[in-house]
Amino acid sequence: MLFNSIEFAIFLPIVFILHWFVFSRTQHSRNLLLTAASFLFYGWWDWRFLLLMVGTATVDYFLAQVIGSSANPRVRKWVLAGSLISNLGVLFFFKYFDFFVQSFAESFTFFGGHLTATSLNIVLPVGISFYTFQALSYTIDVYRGNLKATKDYLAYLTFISFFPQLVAGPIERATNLLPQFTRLPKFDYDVAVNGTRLILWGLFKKIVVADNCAIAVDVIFGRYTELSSSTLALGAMLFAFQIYCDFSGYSDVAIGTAKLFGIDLMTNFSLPYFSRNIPEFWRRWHISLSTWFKDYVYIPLGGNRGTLRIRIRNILVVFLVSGIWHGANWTFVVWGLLNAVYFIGYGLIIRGTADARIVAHDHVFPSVKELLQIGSTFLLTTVAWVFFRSETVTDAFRYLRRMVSPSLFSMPQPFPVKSLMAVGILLLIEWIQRRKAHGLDFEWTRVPAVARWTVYLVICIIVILNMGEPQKFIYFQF
Amino acid sequence: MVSRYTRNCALFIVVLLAIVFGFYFTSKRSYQDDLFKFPSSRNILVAGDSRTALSINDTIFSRAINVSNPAELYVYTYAKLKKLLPLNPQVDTVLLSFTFHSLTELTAHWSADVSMIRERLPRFAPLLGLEEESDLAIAAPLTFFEGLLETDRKNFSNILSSKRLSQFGEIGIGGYNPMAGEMSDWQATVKPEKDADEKMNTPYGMQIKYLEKIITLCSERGVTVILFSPPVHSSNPRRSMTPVILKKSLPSVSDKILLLDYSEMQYADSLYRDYLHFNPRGAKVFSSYLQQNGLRPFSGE
Repeated sequence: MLFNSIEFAIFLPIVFILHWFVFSRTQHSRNLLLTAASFLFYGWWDWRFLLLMVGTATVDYFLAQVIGSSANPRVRKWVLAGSLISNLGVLFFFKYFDFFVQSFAESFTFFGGHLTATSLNIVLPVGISFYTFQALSYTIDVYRGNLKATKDYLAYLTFISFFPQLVAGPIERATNLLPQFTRLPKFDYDVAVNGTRLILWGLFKKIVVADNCAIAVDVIFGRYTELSSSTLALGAMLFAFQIYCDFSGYSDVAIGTAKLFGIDLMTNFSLPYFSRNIPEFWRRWHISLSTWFKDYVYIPLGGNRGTLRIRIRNILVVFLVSGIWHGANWTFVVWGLLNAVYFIGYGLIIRGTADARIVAHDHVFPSVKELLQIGSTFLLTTVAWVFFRSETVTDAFRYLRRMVSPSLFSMPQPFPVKSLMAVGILLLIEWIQRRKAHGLDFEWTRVPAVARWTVYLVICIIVILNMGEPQKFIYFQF
Repeated sequence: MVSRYTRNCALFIVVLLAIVFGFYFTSKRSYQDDLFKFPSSRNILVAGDSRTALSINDTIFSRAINVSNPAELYVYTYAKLKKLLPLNPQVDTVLLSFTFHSLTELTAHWSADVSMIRERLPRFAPLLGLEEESDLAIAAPLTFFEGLLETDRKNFSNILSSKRLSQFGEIGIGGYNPMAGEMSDWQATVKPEKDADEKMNTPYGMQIKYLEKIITLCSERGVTVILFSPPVHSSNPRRSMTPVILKKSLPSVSDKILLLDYSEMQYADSLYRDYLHFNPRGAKVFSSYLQQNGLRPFSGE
């Protein structure tokens, strides 16, 4: 079930009404409803993968119980290893098996041999990368003592399967989310209204900006050998906004939806394209995944302690794994490595602590220096996005090579006016709202109800006018 | 507090739906009458679904004008005829596509398929009356709503572009529709439809209703309706069932209405693109036959 579909528009109010008017007397009944709703939401795609999700989650539930109840460090370590193998094994099989088989066969051919690879044509379950990482964070946190293993199987199942964030994040930590299913929430009117605004903002980003950019991006990337450099540059830039609005739009709808049920999910994006440098970009982009890698991969490897070589190694490992997490294609590996090079390069050149506050936090316009910093960071990330979007590494290199030629200064053809207008409006709103939580986070109490509703209606109508065939979210493929 | 929030949301949704529906009804463009006027030499109107859309080339069968449309339910045909007949008094015959599946649940997906309604409703909306819209909405409510939203989108962009149509074919609601293809290619890829036998035995009420309405409409205008079944490839096991289905589904009408059943007329495989439709070569041959022989009943020759 897609967030931007009529089925979800019917599903959500029904679940909301049942939640607050029928099932919220006890936390048990409430979790029952949320789990059932989540199963329906996920099973809408394919009920078979529902069994996979419940199966892997149940394995982790029992393994965490063993870890939590055992005082023997060896037993705890081995059981944790079992959880890692179980989760990563399932992920590897469904996501990477065919890729590694094909790559192995190709490398055999490269060295002069001949090997016919039999692909299993395995169907990738939606959201597998997200819920396996979420489940892993639970068992690891129990192992580390950050969290007690829960005996409430239903609360645990609700934590794993909670439908707003099940298929594309944010990847929640058990320490944040699980306790919210062990107590009854109280309905907060302001939180619910804010959640609704966030849903609207997320749909605007996804449908009006991302889906419009996608039309131009598909044409440009599909015909890149025929188009001018300026068009290719525009295509790369539009893809940067497509993936941002697609993914952050989904996260906004997920977080907003969760708020309707009294659940607080973590922020996943914080205006990444206003970043002044690469480390800041990674503090603002897909925050739930980057903090997951930081806490469960980078820091256990040593983090930024140790020699320069070890620190570089740690950064390379994290970005390589992050690239692989995104998909079974060498383009994602190169994307990850490129970002690692950026990150390492910045760390080697710049000393001192970067400003954690948003750019131009105390003035209206950015300074020239800030503008150059934002521009250069955006340029670097856009170059990396070309690998992310391309079918193959060769295509990406060809695309980038063709982007640098005298026709870079010509007028792009085709010239996607609608996409550029949508991006312009997005940037304007996000700039004005950069100190706030999201694009529609205004001081609404000062605005008369008629004016507020007019704004909401206009946004809804703009979203409806831009809806075509419901487009999948890009991160569903991960 | 939750009641207040729910009430406000419900009110908002009502207002939004009122705008969506209101815009649908108020922004329906009317097609100019001159788009629907055909030359006085064309006294036969060919209407219906892809069976006639692909088989009758009206540049060859020159007494006819083909306004058929692939996957067209009779409700759309009825809406078209309501507009066409008063503007074309020279029309004395309507050749209406009729096949063994026309009145069965096998055609139900034409109203339930979202991509079809998204493509179709915006074009037909100006011709549909409230009764037709209600029937389509009842047949597949969510799908109809998606079609309604798409109609709003198309109408909005039409208002912005103010493009003027200059001929019937530009509306996109019918016309001879040649589709290339070879029987052998189709046979290599075709998969049997699930539950086809069950659907064949289940009548589809909306199709029956609007076939009767078409017959009544034509009768009121003194126009002869002829149910017309173009040739069906010999590999189709149901090709002889057309008169049987008619008698079973419309017993009160089947004796009074003429069925021109060419289903069992034999043509070479190379003239078909699949077991129900001609390719352009087949359409040319069949249309030439009709041009030379007129609307003669097929008696197994």
